[in-house]
Amino acid sequence: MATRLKEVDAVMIGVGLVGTMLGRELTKAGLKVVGLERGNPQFTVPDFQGPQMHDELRYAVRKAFMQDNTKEAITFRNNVNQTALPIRRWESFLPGTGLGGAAVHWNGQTWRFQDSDFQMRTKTIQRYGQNFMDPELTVQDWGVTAAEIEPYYDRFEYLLGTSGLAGNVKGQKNPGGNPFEDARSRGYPTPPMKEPYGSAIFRKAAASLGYHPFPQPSSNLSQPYTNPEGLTMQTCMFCGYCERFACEHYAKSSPQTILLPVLLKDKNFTLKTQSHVLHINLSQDKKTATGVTYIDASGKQFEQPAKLVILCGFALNNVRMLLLSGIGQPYDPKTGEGTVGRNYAYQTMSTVQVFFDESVNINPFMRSGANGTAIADFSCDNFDHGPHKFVGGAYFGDVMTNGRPIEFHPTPPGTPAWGAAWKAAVVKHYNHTIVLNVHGSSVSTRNNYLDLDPTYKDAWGLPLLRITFDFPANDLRMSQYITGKAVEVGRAMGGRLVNGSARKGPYGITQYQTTHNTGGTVMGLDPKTSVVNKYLQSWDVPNLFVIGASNFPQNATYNPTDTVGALAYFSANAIVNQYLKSPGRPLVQA
Amino acid sequence: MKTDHIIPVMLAALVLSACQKSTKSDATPAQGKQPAAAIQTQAAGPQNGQQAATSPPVAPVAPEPQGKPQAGQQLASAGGQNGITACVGCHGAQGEGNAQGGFPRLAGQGEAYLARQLTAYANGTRVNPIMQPIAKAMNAQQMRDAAAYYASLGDAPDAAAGVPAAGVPAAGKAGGGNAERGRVLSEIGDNSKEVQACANCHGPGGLGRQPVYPYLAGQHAGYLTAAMGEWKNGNRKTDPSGQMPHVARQLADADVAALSAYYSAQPAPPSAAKLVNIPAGSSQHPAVMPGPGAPGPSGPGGGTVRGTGTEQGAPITGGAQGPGGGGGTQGNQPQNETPPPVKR
Repeated sequence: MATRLKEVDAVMIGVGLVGTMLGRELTKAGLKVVGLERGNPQFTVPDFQGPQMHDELRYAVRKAFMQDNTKEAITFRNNVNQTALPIRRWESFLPGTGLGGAAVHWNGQTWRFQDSDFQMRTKTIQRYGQNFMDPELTVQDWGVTAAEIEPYYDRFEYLLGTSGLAGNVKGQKNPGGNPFEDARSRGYPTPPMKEPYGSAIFRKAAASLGYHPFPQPSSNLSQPYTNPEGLTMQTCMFCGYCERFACEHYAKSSPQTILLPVLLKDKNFTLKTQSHVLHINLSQDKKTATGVTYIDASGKQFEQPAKLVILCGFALNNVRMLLLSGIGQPYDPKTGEGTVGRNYAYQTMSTVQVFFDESVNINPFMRSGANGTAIADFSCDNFDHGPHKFVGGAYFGDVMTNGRPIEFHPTPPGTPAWGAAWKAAVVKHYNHTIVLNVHGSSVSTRNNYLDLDPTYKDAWGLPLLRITFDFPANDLRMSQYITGKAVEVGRAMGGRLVNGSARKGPYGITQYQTTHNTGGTVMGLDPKTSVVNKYLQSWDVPNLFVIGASNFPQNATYNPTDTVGALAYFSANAIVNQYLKSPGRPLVQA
Repeated sequence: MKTDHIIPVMLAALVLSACQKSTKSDATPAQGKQPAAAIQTQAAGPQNGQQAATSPPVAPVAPEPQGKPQAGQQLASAGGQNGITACVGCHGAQGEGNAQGGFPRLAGQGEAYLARQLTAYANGTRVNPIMQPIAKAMNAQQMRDAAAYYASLGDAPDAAAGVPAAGVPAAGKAGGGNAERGRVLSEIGDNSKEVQACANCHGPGGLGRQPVYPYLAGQHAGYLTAAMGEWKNGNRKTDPSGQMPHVARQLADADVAALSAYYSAQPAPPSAAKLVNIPAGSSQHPAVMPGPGAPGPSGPGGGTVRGTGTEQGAPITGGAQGPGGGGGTQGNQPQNETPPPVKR
């Protein structure tokens, strides 16, 4: 039996980026908050220090910062006619664990979504007509607009100290920035990072073709910065160990550098690590959350009663927690009914390799997770989709993150996969290859969804989450078109060999693509097609808020973290200024 | 005495000193270097990786101007025109420095680092009443020569073997707490001060990382303390990242003293000039190789086994890298090679 603890005002499931932000906002509002983190405590000093932090084998290959899939895996299949099997080694995507969550090992790429993303269905119909989208698509509006979210993007970016060059400040276009972005209320907190050599080559080539290159917004900082919480970050050293690693230099914006030290000093906040939540507890009528039940490292179970529950784990785990707790109606692809697990989406990635001769030294090791130069001419709805018969888009550019010895081995097509010829090709091309990253959107469809696996269970006997996903035809057409555009830029860069191929199906989980798993607890205006309202409050259980990329109704062109952070502040603002005035009430009437 | 210092080499440690990364990155594309004809033909034509992988290398890049150690030696021992005084007067006959005077050990320090310090003294980004007039009198080639000469010296006595400067705790024999504090700061850092481990840039044990980060091991404690003072008071502006000034401001005087004591007690690394650059593809081996009887898997004939597993046709050591990382080949593998999951 679980030991029942004293009731608190709020309990948070997961102390990653969102958990840290919500913890700060709620304790500031006077609430007594307990944060339950399943992983270990970890801090810049002593846990992220060199030379150990640059152990590529430990962190990149064996994935030391990721969820332990010997205890808690995820099963996967491409479609409902297959039997899903557990993912025994993370490859395609990397769910993080531990204090700070995925924001410890992220790259720091900090992009705002555009208004055409937030209102994708409405705007697509307006511009291209009712029947433009494939019938299988379940693309829908978010219930918020870019203008509504802008102040929260702004606040989040100033928390992170993001380095970038604004393209549009209050409607004033700024040369050199992203000309397609929606108006921002002010520039970035810090200037853009230095442009690596390969990115400069890309910039010149893209501009020569009439595109609009700009520096990628980065939360690996270009200079020291003190954020509004009073914490100071340092300059990125371009060490090339960012994604999958933690930053030893206080230069990457992670909970440890931007907020946790302040939160942990707050007497209203209690952090409990190695505390694995099993389920959210409900009242008899299932309309109120009464708290959570968790298990600690010694295997003891505890019930933590709380007036307010914030579910803020990784996107996939948010969905699973609702399903394990019996909250909301699970999505059924046969009938299209139910909402929990509906509209799972991903990201449609491809690459273009540009091989130069040996007089061009790229020095790929001298990179940061979010440096580089990109174009958004083919993002979102920034170009006419009419002739192309697809929705969505991709940004692309030289945004290389590293040239690490174990994993960075660019070789031209036709090179043997091993042996002397492979080694010779690696030596020849290592320092003379630019890889363009094509970062594409992912639409939601009727057939891609999340539910509980009928067979496989975790270390605590609970069913694993099951992913049913394949690339929608819409996204493969998108990738085909835009990867072709990237190849054209690659040729203009002067490489003597350009190799790029669009993303092809079926989706597989054995090669890294991206950790941008989205949807399953989507936000929206209609309880029939969303799990939470626009304030991220559960339609079914009003004292439960679910926050994360699981709220995205479909995934946009850009990287999700900036939007996750903005939504977290948006939700926190609604909780503090509206919800707490009459707790337990829905903020939006169904 | 010397052998006593072998073990401490293993201890990771050091003080951050010049943390700037070389930033060639703002260079513009070298259009002139591209074989334009090749671009148009090969880029558009069929892509044959085998051919690309085995075609002969293109003309080598012109080497950067190098210092001449012999000219540097002349300068060091006899000085030069325009009031360039002989370096040996302060830095010692073998580049061992002078603990009492606070003159740093230069022997075996990185050539690029030394040349950049002379440039910094000349242009005022590093302030020092003795060095600035000397550096201003030197031309660029003389700076490179002197740097090359000192980089080539390796076996000068280091601070660990020398006499400690007055007022500085004796190296290695410093009060236990002090030396331990230095070790912790150098290897681990201090989260309460938001100071990372010195080892991140200066390498384990303060051995330095060529060509940017100087060694600190075996450097004189008095000099190290003075250098941290320069970072703190702004007399040294050679770190565009701002990491070193930040670290220096965060650390208390006692912390700096602890670090100086710690590093000065470590044996200095061998000369940077003795580092061997093994050309890619050569049959030369690094100095440290497993012996014939070393533990580990062995194949036929006793050779070390280096397994290269594959998964779905892709080498597992060849890159789970994918598109988000540096790139590699994996993102381009046709996905339709993926077999469907097994049906039960």
